[in-house]
Amino acid sequence: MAHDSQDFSSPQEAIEGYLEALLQDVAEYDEPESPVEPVSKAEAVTERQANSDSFTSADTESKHTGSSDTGSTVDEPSAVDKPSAVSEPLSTDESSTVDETGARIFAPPSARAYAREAAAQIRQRQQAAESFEPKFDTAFKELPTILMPELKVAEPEVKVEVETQSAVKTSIAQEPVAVEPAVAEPVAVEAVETMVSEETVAVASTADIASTSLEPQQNEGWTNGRPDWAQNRFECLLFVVKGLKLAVPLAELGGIHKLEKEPTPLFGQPGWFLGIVRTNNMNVGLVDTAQWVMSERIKGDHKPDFKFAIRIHDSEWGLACHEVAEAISLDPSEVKWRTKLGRRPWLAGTVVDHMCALIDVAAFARLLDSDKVPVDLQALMADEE
Amino acid sequence: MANVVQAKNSAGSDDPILQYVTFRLADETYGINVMQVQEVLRYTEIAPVPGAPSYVLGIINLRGNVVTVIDTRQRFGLMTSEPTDSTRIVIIEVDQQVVGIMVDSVSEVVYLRQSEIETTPNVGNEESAKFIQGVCNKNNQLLILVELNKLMSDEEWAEVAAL
Repeated sequence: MAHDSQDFSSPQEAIEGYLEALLQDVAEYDEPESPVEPVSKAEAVTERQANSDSFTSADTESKHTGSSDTGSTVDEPSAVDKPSAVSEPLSTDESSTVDETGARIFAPPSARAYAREAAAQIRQRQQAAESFEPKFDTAFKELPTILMPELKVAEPEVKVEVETQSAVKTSIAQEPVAVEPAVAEPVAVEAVETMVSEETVAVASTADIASTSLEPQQNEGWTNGRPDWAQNRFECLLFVVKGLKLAVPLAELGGIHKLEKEPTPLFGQPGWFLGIVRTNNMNVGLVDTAQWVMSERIKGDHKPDFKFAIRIHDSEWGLACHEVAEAISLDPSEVKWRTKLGRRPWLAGTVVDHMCALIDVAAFARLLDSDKVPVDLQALMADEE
Repeated sequence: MANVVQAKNSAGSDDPILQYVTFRLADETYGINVMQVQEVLRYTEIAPVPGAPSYVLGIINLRGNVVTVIDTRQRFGLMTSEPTDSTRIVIIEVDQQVVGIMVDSVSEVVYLRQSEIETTPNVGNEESAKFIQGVCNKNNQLLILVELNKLMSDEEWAEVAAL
């Protein structure tokens, strides 16, 4: 490579030579491939004439520096692929060699001068081309400015189409969902049917309250047709409710309390529930005994002016009464025990000698504590009649 | 003040001390949880609302907010009465809903132990029977504790909210 260092002062000269070869190529082979305007062809012809004049006149070449197409022909790959054809006439020169890269190098000084001139010509052409570039830029910039809005408008259209598709998909997807609840409707119908059946059960249970609850199948705590506490001779306490004499066994008596204060009424309770009385550090629910025992005699002007409360044993219920009479001793045979289970489970029997009713207070307490206690006693007794 | 200290001291015990605002209604004393009471107002003119349920007396303007006033007597099944000088409107908050209940008078705030609250016999079939939380004997009188959460059903609360 010492040869190269002697013939060229710098790599720039080698590049200039290579460019000159390209110019020759352009001059010798009028490129048919390039769809260039006639202006470029005319310039190529001019260059060919310049080459034929052995590059003696720099003025003639300087006229062609304004051509912008020359640069384009240099950049084309077809021109790069043809250096061998261009170098053929120069291959006879002994001093010319082929570089490893394939670039032609011209050793003679005349060729170097020619290359310098050609390089200067190329620079001028490039400068001229750069001066024309704004025109191209403007042209290219104008086109996109016109096209870009169209593209921008077109893109949303595509998006809209996509959204429309998705909307269609969504609607299609929703339709089955809408169908599924329709399928589920029979479930709701089943629920209604279930509710109807439950109402039927509720009605049946209400009927039970009205009838079955007050008609126990058997007397609880009764033996030999009478209560357990009446198997032998037993003591009873007589008390009066609205003129009616009643008797309660002492065995079932929890206590006798004088009503010094009005009972505290609770709202939402039936009329026979007078309220709560505080006695002996306990709250006793006071029952209007008259409404239970003689509901048919209770009128609208009924005034529960009771004086005493007879508390049932082991219970928080008390029977209100007007008077407390004496205690008596009874033989079980003196009592006409009930044999038929009616709607008065609290009635144990009647004592003819004392013209009083014997109350089964334990059964009374069980009835009050149960959830089947009647609310409207008068209506209940009216149904019984 | 001593009661307050005592309440704080025994707040963490198994038998907590609860505070109730007591009011009078039809000669009986009722108590409601103090935590649900926002304020107590003197009786003011209540604007009736056409088409409102029977248990709604109307609405009042409480510092720019419309508050529905419930007829407590009607709700408890008691006889109606005319408002007096002692009539009060207790503003309560139930389920994040603010309403007012009209009472005959407001008495005091009492401290009750949880163990002092006794259950009451419930033999009634009426809805109002569910309002009673329990009773408590305080100062030689029976205090009826009202559970405000059950004062109205969900449908009724929604109906009130729509007013």
